[in-house]
Amino acid sequence: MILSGFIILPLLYIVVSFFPLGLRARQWGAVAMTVMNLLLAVGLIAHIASTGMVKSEMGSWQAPYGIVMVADRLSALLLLITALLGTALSVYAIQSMDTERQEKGFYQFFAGILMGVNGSFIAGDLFNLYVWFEVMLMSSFILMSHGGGKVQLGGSIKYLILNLISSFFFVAGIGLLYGQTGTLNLAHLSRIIAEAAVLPSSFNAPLVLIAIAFAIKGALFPFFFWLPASYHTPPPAVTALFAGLLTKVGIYSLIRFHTLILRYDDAIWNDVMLWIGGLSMVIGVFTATSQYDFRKILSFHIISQVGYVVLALGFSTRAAMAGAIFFLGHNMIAKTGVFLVAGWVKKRKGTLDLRRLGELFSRNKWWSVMFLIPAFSLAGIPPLSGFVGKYAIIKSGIDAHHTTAALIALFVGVFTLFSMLKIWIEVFWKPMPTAIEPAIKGGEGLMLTGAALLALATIGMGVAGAPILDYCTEAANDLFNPNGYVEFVLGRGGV
Amino acid sequence: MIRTLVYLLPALALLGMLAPPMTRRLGHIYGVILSAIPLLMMVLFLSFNTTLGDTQSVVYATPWQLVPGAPLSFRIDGLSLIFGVMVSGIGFLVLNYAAGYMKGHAHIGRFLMLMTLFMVSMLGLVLSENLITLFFFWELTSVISFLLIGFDNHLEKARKAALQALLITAAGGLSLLFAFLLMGNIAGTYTISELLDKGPLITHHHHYPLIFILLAIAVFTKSAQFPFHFWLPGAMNAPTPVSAYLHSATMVNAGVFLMLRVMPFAGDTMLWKTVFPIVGSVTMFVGAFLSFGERDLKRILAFTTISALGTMVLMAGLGTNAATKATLVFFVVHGLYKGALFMITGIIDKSTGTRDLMQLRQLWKPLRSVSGATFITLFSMAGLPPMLGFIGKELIYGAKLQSGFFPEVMLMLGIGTNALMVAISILIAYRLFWSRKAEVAPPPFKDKYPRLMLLWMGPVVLSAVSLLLGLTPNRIARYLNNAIYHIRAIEYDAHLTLWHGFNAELLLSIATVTLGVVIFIYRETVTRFITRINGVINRYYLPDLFDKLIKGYVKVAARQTNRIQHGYHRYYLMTFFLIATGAMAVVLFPFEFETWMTSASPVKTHIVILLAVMSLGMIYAMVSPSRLSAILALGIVGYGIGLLYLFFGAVDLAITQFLVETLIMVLFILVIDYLPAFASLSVRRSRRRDAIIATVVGVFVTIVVLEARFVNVVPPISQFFIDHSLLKAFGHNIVNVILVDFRAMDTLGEITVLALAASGVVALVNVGQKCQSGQSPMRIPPADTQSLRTLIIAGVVTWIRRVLIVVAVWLLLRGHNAPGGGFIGGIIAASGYVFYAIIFGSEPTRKKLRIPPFIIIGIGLGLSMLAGVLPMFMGEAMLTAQWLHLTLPMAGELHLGTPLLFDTGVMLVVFGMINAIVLTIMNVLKWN
Repeated sequence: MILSGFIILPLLYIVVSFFPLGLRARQWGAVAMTVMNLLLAVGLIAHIASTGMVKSEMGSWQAPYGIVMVADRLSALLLLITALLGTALSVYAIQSMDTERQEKGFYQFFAGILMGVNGSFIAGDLFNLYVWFEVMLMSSFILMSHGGGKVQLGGSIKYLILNLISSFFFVAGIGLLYGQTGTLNLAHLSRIIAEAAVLPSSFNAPLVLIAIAFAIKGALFPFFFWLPASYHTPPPAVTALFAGLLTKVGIYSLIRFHTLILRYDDAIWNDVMLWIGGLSMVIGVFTATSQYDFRKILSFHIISQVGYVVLALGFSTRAAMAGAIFFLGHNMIAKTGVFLVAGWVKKRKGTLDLRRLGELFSRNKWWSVMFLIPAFSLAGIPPLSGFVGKYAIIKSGIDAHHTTAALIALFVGVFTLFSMLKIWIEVFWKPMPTAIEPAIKGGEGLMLTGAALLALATIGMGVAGAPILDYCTEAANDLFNPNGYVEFVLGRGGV
Repeated sequence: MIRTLVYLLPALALLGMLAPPMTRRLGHIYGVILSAIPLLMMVLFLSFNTTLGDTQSVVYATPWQLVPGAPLSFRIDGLSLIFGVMVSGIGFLVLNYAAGYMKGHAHIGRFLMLMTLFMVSMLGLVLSENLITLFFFWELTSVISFLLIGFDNHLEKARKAALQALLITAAGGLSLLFAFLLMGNIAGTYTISELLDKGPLITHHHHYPLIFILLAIAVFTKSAQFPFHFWLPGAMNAPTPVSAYLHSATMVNAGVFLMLRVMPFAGDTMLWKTVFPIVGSVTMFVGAFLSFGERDLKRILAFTTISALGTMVLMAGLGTNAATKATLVFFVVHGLYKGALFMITGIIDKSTGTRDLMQLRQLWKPLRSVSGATFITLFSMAGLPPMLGFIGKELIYGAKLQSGFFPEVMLMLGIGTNALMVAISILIAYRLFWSRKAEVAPPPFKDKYPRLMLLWMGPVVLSAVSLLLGLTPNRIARYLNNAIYHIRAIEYDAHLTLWHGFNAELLLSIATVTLGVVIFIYRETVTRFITRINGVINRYYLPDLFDKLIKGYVKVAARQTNRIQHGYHRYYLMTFFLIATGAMAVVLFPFEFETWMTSASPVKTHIVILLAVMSLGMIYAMVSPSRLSAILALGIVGYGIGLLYLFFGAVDLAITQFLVETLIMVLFILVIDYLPAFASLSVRRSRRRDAIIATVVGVFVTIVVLEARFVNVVPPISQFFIDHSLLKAFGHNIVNVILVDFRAMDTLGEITVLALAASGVVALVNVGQKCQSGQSPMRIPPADTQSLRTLIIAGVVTWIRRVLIVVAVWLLLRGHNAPGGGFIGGIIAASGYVFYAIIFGSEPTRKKLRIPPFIIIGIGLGLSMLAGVLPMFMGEAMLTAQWLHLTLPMAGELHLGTPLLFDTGVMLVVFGMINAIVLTIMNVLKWN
């Protein structure tokens, strides 16, 4: 019952916003929707922390015949963080987005993203997951190209086409899998694969296709091109939304797919994850260093940070999985937080070119703090969330005897720190090279509120690192026991 | 009592963070108020001296865990006491000094806040009982020192120095973390008390060399050992109170502290006893040597700190009892004199406006009480009796004499270093107090600073302590005993006296002082010599080198980034497809061609013909010279797919395919004139390449499909749909039942996509229209359309529109049992309006619609959602069908249910979407 709410709330907003409404109603309606979504997520995680899993069979058609929505600890955590980001962004956008875009449906597509992301996190069915990907893709493409000039359109075309290829691979993989197994339900697929004595080699082709589709969505090496090509073009609030959610859904799907299905071919896939994750991690920070655009630096770092998560998947221990989950959650919050500061800088100074910015520290101490907290968190400084995540992943790497990989992961942190310090020094400390007029006038209080919400969250996630990591460990235990998931969804016997 | 100490830390941090608002009200006095807490802490530390005895230690773990298994826990033993007393004691003096020094500064509040936080993190570091706790505070000192060094952020060199300092110390910090994680992995604990007897486990592990290297990097970076020392002279860009604190008791000393802390379980190995002494002695000598070539008082002091740190690392590296004792005593000695000297430098700087030694002279009287303090302090730095410095130096000589590690070399380096120290001390005293000539006369002396108690208190107290401890050194013996017990696991009696009698150490001391005096006398020659060497070294000036390294790296990164993220869309696509194909080829190898051949079933002739036609259409679309023909050719492919559906019995799909295909063609033709002129932009060679890639991808997809065809692991779930469609979902048409009932959630998602697409197209087109308003060519002039609007045509079109609506509703209603349904109905109804719009333009169509398309979409989506939500009010899962069973006299049994409501919503969404898009595009085309 509670799971349907995550779909219905944003859908209701989408429905309502087809009717003529004033700007205020659209804005505060969106805030109300996201706050309710947040309350729902808090309720769900409180429930799940004690019960472990929740499912809801759509149309009361029993799984695997109907579509089932499932939430385990991983889903609940990501739903909560998504809801938090949604709340912060809906508040932030009121003062960040120009009124024209706000009137022309920004919040509607925002709700579309939220609906797609929520749906993806609770989809228990492969095709249903694909549908949520489509909802996300459509909304994100519109948001990305909405009201933009040539640069923005160029970025969105690359975004759209490369993501459509992901959709193509995904749906082709689903078709092939369905052809061979006759089912779309993830738990059912997992059971079939687990019970099959010998898997025909033809099974691997759809798995490869689907994994590549997720890798494209997650912006992993060597499929990340769409991300740096497009993320710096739309309005900052949109980039913040994308940075926090879109790639993470790809990674979430990869985790789900890996633990339920790919794991039966463990040896190969673990090595693949290790290499893809490691290379993404290194290439992400490497490419980021040469950038001089606030958002481009951050965009390239996204690649590096999803690489961390996938690397941890490759370690393939419970502790590593717990670290990966924690890191994923941390990154969603901290990354969005930094992007929100970028949005403020853009609004203030009209540019995000580091060479043309400066001196924001002297008169904007709160915004400086809002930058430093998530930035240091991304660089892995204790006691912020990034430290706990990095600690957990690196420790698990050492414990799993992947010392070299862990060492590389550690020193990638130095380069992340370098990028964050570069932004800090250039944007906040350095004297202003030229006087630039503010681009948009207007208040900043709500923007600051949104950024502060995320900064507090990243502190909270760091300070309460131990209990949250414990929660993540339980989530990892669930993931490492796919049988539990399968039995929960399908029942003990059945099918 | 340890609890009080521990809880004073957050209290101090909190009060520190209140400094910005509080100083606005109270001014610099808030710094004095703040300093009460470190004073209190120092008293508490001192009181431990009696309770702790020679072998005790106290531990307190807070309930808060930084990471699982690593509570924030603290310990007090001799080592943490010695460091704790120094950090809190000098912290107390420095806070007062800072209050005086920064008085009236615009950002005094921020400064005091950072100083306090720095103090808290250093105190936390020395009190850590847990490696992770230690790392936590270690990183905090790095981060806060970054903010302090860059405090004057308008100065480029301050920013640069801050960046270098943090990059280097943070890299060291990460090494430390990794070393700790490895140790924890081996020993199974991070708690220091538990690690104490795990030494052999760690030092004999095959990862020990790695652990050691990482630890050494951490020590070298933090404690500014050669060649990582260069960040420290840069750090003097921070305001002087920071330097005083950074050099004397905190930050750089953390590396030495770390060595002593981990020595019981990671020391006492060949590596330890070789690497640290070598690096330490090199640093020791280089630091002293370079300091002699400097003129800026602060830089001189910075280099002597490097030298002193080298001494401490050397001593801790030797690791004998005597050497450990010497390390600890020398830490105290150095902290006392270095803190005082930096504060004095700050006073001189404030009073005269310069720190250039060559410009200063005759400061004895103007400096007042500070002069005495300076003199005493320099005595201690030179290692002359009766100062504590003398005892420290004697202990060092003693330890070197006893050690088995090249005592001759080390003694020579030691004597050289100490002689240079003596010479520097004399030189500073001479320049400040006796010298009558100065290169340039300094600006007039500002008398108020030496009179300010907040400023002179620090140096005076520190020099007094130096002297007092020199006269009664045994006061610190008990701390040493306890510390050495916990470092070396040995009960030790560290008896300290000023006078040892005539022994080798004394002889060495005398030699040192003599040599120092000689160097002082020939200082000009020596300085010239050092300056010349400096000239050579400066060519490889490390901060610049580091800068170049970073710049070079950025340049390489930029080049490689352009290679990776090249911006050519076609190569991205190529990468995607080739990797996907390659991966599939790998997993499918070897291909089972024979199976495909033997098990292939015969294909019917009409399907072969259809496929051939589709292929021809595809090929023609690729080579066609115009866009229109390409679109028509693609249409053939689309209709072909529809026919395929039909041949395999999927009537609903076929109808949908035909309708969608038609609609797309209409849309294409509507806009085709507005697209840029058709041109072939690629050269023959790249087209050939693309053709090859496309063929390869196609072949592999074919292979995959062929392979997949012969596997059916379990019976498919579709049988369930066949079995239950009529019985439980009351529909004959399984396709429709799947869409609106079995898998209605997918449909709900998809119609949301459609609705958003409509909304998006309208938003995009409207903005696009704004960009090129006025340029848009009018395709069909009103006069032309006028001629079409004859009564007959108007009538026919209107009738078609009405008929199609009726057909659509009929399709919707029968959809559950026969081909049809909301989606098809929506397209059919909409096509009537599209037809109408083509004839009459968009505005009249809008009027005919009465309700704006957006609202139709909203209602439709709302109805579908309602069908999903209604059952929830009855306590059932979302989208559970609710049925009303009626028995009508004529039609027999009738099942009315929410799936119909859902399907109605689908129809409205599709209908509204098509209208919204077509009408908007026509609007843009001025097809009114």
